[in-house]
Formats: sequence, structure tokens, C-alpha cells
Amino acid sequence: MDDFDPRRIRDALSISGDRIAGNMTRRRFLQGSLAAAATAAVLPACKPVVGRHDQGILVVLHLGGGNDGYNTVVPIGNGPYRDRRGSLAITNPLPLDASFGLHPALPKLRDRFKAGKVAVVQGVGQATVSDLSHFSSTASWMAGTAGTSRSSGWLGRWLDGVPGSADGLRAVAMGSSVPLHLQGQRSVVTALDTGGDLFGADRTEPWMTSVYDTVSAFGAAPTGKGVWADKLATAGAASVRLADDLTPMFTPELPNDSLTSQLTLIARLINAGLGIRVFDATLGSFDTHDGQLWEHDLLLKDLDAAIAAFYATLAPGWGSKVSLMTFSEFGRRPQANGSAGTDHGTSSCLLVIGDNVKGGFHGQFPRLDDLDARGNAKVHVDHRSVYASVLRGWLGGDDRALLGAAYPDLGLFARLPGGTA
Amino acid sequence: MAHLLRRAGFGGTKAEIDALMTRASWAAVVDRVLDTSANPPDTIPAAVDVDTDAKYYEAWVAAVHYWMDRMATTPTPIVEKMALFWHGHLTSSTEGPLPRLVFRQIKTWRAKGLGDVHDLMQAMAVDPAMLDYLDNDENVAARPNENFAREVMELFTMGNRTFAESDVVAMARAWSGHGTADDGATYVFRPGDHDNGTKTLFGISRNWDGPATITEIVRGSKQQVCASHLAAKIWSFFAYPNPSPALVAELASSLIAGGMDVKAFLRVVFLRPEFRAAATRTALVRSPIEWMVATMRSVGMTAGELHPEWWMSRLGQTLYQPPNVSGWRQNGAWISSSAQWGKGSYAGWVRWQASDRGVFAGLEDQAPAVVVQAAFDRFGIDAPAASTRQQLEAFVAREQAARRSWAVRPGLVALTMLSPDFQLA
Repeated sequence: MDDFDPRRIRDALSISGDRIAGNMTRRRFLQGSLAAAATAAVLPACKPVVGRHDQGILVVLHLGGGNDGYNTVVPIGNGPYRDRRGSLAITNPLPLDASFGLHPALPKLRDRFKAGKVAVVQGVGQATVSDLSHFSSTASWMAGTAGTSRSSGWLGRWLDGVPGSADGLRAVAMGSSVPLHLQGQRSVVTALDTGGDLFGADRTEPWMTSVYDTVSAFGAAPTGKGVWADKLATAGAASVRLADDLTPMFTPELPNDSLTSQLTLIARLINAGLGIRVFDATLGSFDTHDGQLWEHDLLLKDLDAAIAAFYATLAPGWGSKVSLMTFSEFGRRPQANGSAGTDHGTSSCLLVIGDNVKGGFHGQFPRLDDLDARGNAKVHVDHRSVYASVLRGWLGGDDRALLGAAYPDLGLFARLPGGTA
Repeated sequence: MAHLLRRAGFGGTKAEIDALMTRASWAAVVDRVLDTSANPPDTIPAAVDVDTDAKYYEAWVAAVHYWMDRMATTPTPIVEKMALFWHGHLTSSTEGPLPRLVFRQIKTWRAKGLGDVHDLMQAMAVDPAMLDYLDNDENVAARPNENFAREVMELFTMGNRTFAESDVVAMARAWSGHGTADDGATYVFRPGDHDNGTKTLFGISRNWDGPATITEIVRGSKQQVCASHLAAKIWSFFAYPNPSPALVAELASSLIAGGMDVKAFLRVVFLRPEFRAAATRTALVRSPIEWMVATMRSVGMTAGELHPEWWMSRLGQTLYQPPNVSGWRQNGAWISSSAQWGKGSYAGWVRWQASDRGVFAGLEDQAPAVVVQAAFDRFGIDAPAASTRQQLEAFVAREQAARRSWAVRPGLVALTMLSPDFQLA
């Protein structure tokens, strides 16, 4: 993949009036079509394309607060589930197979599952959990290491090894700060708010440029006032530079809903072909200590709509190169807590979505009649095993070095990025 | 001196710094900064008292303006700075409880935030916003809810990995029955909902009741753990993050020796040589709230004029809405392209408001060095980076040469706000 060249990208994106759906320019679209036609001319029509790790793009969606796995992928006709959940039990799931169904707020996701594009990993959690606080659990999930260090994240360490990650756009977090799982040593991650209005973009008057130039100049050399002043100065300069390049992504206006706007913007950034490999989005809070039925329903409706919007925006040709995975710091306790909610639990399910995933069920369902000493679900899949699977099957890289130990590959992918059946 | 005013408050102008310079000693300066006798009466506007979501925004704006103006104009900034610390430590968010309860919670942090930690923690535990935010209003003997029980130990008083999961269970039982009245807005203890059984907390078995657990933590067997946790967090907020274990141990001893009194502890913090060290003076990035308040102070304008509420979310720090129960993080959490875009946007707005109000009036045609020094004095930048001075002077010279003198004043407001120097705490 070519290194990110802002000027070239900006040129490609600023052909007037020719934008098509997904913010792809006509020229870029035509280039893509020509490339596809050329490929078709060389290869026999039915011969599959073998993908490559270095084409893989990963969207990570944090369901913050601890998502209830049992009420997301619901066991059907399961007595212990109904007993423990009482009025919180989901009685009308959308069947995936004879044993499990999705929460009724997820009809579009069910269709995607039926199309073989959703891998459900069950019983995922922290095999070596010390406590069930949001802070510790989230930090542990995001760090993704065999050790106890929480100073970098599993994707941040992976990004450190990606060419161009120190000075270009290789990872983008939706929001105003960079979460731990994207933090590495050398790689630079951009936090991009869906609100747009990027300082440095509007250059309609000469005096504006003079102000931007001064901000850029603050970051041109060390300040002599310590590491934080230097970081502030370089961040200011970088923001002015990036503003110029990213402004086209905010047209047409993004939808109002938070997660839908995040995933729509991510799809546009993918369509623009900027070379971004990792995206981060968040939805929540899933911390449903009370009023769970109503609250969880709203959250999952947002999730269903946002994933649909993502694929509606994503331009043809990218589907085989993009995977979206969810994670949550923990599941909820099997036993309802009496405030019409559930307290912090252990294992949960997560989803890996994409054209090239191996659809269906992975891992092992945590039975409700086989709980641990504290009445929590057993952990059958260590979260780092999911990371090892994503690294081996999708992003590439030395999973053992990045995670600090070897973890089993769950076989979540049917093909490498860009590969076709 | 400027460093102390930035850390103990929200910065000071050259005139304010010069006034402190007349004090006989550093200790006398510290005592002046910690003198809260002039703290204005806390008159939260009635506009914050709404019960309907429909009026939430107006009430939130009223609460934001009230506090931002207080932070920007108070003669005792340490009261507001400490309240801001506790707001990010003993977190409650309007995402959940009745908003007015969260707005009024800050009044408690103002009143007790510089006093005895024991009084503060007892007040915190029965604060109606807290009872709702961490669900203790639903914690009853028959159906324990552990949310508050865990966080009161892990985040508020003792720290991660300092207690057992069994302590969480015992703590939840001890706090059962401490909830809110039917109005959802007043603390009430319901004996019938309280678990009167024997609980084993920190290895001590007895019929624990909630308030006694706080006493045990702050004054009893967990005092050392509690003092270490709070000393490290307060030091990180006022001096620099991640103090060494040796320093934390000394600070914890000081906190205990001072009877767990916050103001006495802050005196120790500000008198420590580490606090005044050169590296400490550049060790903290201003949080967005601090940066916006410092701006209001520098240009002498109110929240009603500068509308900081329009930018809080973009900058990543919304008053009365900490992102989660562990509050806001520091330094690196505030630095990103997105936050810089947000700051640029806010500075781009403030420059016109400030220059319309006459900030830097009469300076636009003076020598660049004079203009820029005036900006540093006004914004309380006592030791600017050479590059900042050089680039600002170049800006002024460039605008003057382009015959855009009118652009000097607004440009200087925005660029001083956006200088790395002004973004440091």
C-alpha cells in the first residue's frame, strides 16, 4: 500500500461536483472500476483472488460499560436462562439456529449472519481476571497483553510495526481522545470528532492562513519547555495540516445518531483510500444495573442501524478488506439483580463482522447451570485469543510478540483481506 | 509564583503575580493562596432546578455559567480548583441522576472539599446524586447492588487491588438501606431495607453499617491505604502525575499527620521542593475547563459572553458529565488533533468577542516585541518559549506589513490561547 500522501488524496477528493455515494470521487471510482476490469481480463472469471494481510482494515467497536452477552445472543428454550433472568429474559429472539437467537432489536444483523458474514464468539472474557471493575477490565482488554503492563494497547503495538504509522494516518479514533488499545510507542493516532469544523480548513481569506501558519510554526521545533509543550505544539501543527485533508469527509452532513455518524464517517474514510488500517468507535453505556430491558433495547437498535449504515456507505470493493469487531469489558451476571438489571459479570459474546469472516458460532456458550464460585459465567475463550486470531487471520504481524504469549487461533476468518471465494 | 497561581487556581495576570511578590516568603505566599476567608457565598441559581428532560439544556447552561464565572472571578480560586478535583474524583454525572442533584452536589465539594476527608466522604456517601449515580438507592438487603460499594473503595478512597471481592459484598451489605426518599432527591435511611447481619469487612466481623465503613477507611485500619491513594491523586492533579512510591509514602504521612485535612495537606504540597522544581512547572497540560477559565480570566469576560458550553464536548471535558466513574484522565488525554481543532474553533470565536471588547486596544501599531510582551503579561505567561515569542512577533510584523493592523488584536488573542505555553498548567 502506498504511503499516505495528503496532497494526492486531496486532489483525488476535490474533483468538483462528481461525488457519488459514499463520498468517493468519480475519478477514483473510475480508477477502481478500471482496475477491477483489468483484473478480470487477466484472471479467469471464477478463479478466486488470494488476499494479503497488508490490505486488512479493522474497525473496533467498544460496547462500553459491559454488554450483556446472554441478552444479545440469546439461548433459546433454555430453562436456567429463564430462571435466572426472570422478567429480564428475552422471550422472542430472532433465531440464528435451533439453540441461539439475536435480541429482537438486531434484525439487520440477523440477516447479515444468515448471509454468513457474522462470526459470533461466545464465552469470551478475561481468563485471569482479578476484579470486575470497569477500569481494570477495560484496561486489561485494551492492553491485551500476557503481562500486567497497561501502558500500551494491542493495536497500538501492532501499529508501531506498520509502515508510515509514525507520521501518517494509519489509525483513527472517533471522538476527542485516543483510547488505550490504539496507543503504541511510535505510531500516531488521530482522534476525529464527527462534528467536523476543523481548524485549519477554512482558507478563504489571507489573514486566516497567517494564523494557521503561526500555529504550524509553534510546532516546527522543540519548545524547550518540556515534553508536554512539545506535544501540544506538534499536535497543533498536525491538526492544521490534517484539517485541510479531511474536510471533504464531512460532506454530505453526517447523521445525527452517535454510532451511525461514527461508522458512516469511518466508511467514508475507508472509501477515500487514505491507508488507514484501524478505526475505533464506541457505543454505550451498557452498564445496565437497572432498567435493563428498555435501555439495552435502545442500545442494540442503535447498533443494528449503525452497522447497516456502515455497509450502506462503504463503497463496493472494500467489503472484502474490512472487518468490524465488537468488544466489551465484561458481560453481566447470569442472575438478575432485583433492580430490573444485572451487575458486572465475566464472559460475554463478541461479534466479528465482514465479507471474509468465517460466519457462524465460535468459542463455547457459558452455561447458566455451570457457574463459577461467585455465580458468574465461566470464561471459555481468553480475550487475547480473539486478538491472536485477528492478528493471524486478518491484520498480520507476530501475534506472540505483540501479545506476550501464544494464544489459540479461533479461525475467525475464511479468507485473507481482499481475497474472494 | 505564576506556577502556583496556575496550579492552585486558573492562572494570574502579571499584576496579580506582582502583588504576591510583595509577600515576605514562599510560605506566606502559599498561606495567602490558601486563605479562603473571602470565598463568596455559594448562591446556585434557581434556574438549575428542573425536573424535566425538556428543560435540561437550559438548566445545564445555567449551572455551567455559574461555575465557570465563579472559577474565573473568585478571589479564592483554590476553593473552585479543589471542587473541580473532587468533581472528577467523587464523580456523579447528569447521565442518570436528576441533573439538579449533580449541579447542587458541587456545593458540597466547595463547602467540604478543603476540610476533613472524613466529613467529605461521609457527605459524599449520602449525597442524593451519588446515591442515584452509583445505584445505592437500589441497594437493599434482599437485593444487594454492589456498584457504590466497589467504587467507594476502588476509586474514591483506597485504590485498585487494595481490597478483596468479598469486601465488595460486605460493603454492599453495609450500605444497604441507605437510599433516597420517594422524591428521589433526598437521602433517607430505611431500617427495614438494611442488612443487620454480621459482615466481614477488611477481616473484621461485625454488624457493619455504611458510615462506620467510611470511618474505618479514613480513620481506622485502612487509613494508610486511603491516605496513599488520595495523596497520590491530589499530587498528580496539582504537581505532576505518577509520583514515586517514596514521595507518595511521605505525602501520605503528611496527610495523616494533618488529621486528613485537605487544606493542611495542600500547604504541604505547595511547600515541597518538588512542587517548585523546574520540571514540575511544565509537567501538566491544562484540562479544557482550566484552559477556558484561564481564557475568561485573561480577557476579562464572562461565560455568558464567551459560551464555553458550546465547546466543552469537542474539547473532551463537559462539566457535570465526567466520562465515567473514574473521572477525567490527564495530560495525554487532552492532546489530539481533534482537541486542537476544538481549541482552534474556540479561540477563533473568542478572538472577535475579546477584540470587540477592547482587549489589546491601541497595541496594533506598536513594535511587535511590545505587543507580544503585553499578550504574555495579560495571559499570565511568565516564561514563554523562545519559539513562541519569535513566532508571535513574526505574526504581528507580518500583519502590520500586509497593512492588516486590524487583524493583529484578534489574531494575538487566538494565537496566545493556542500557544503551547498557555495550554500548559
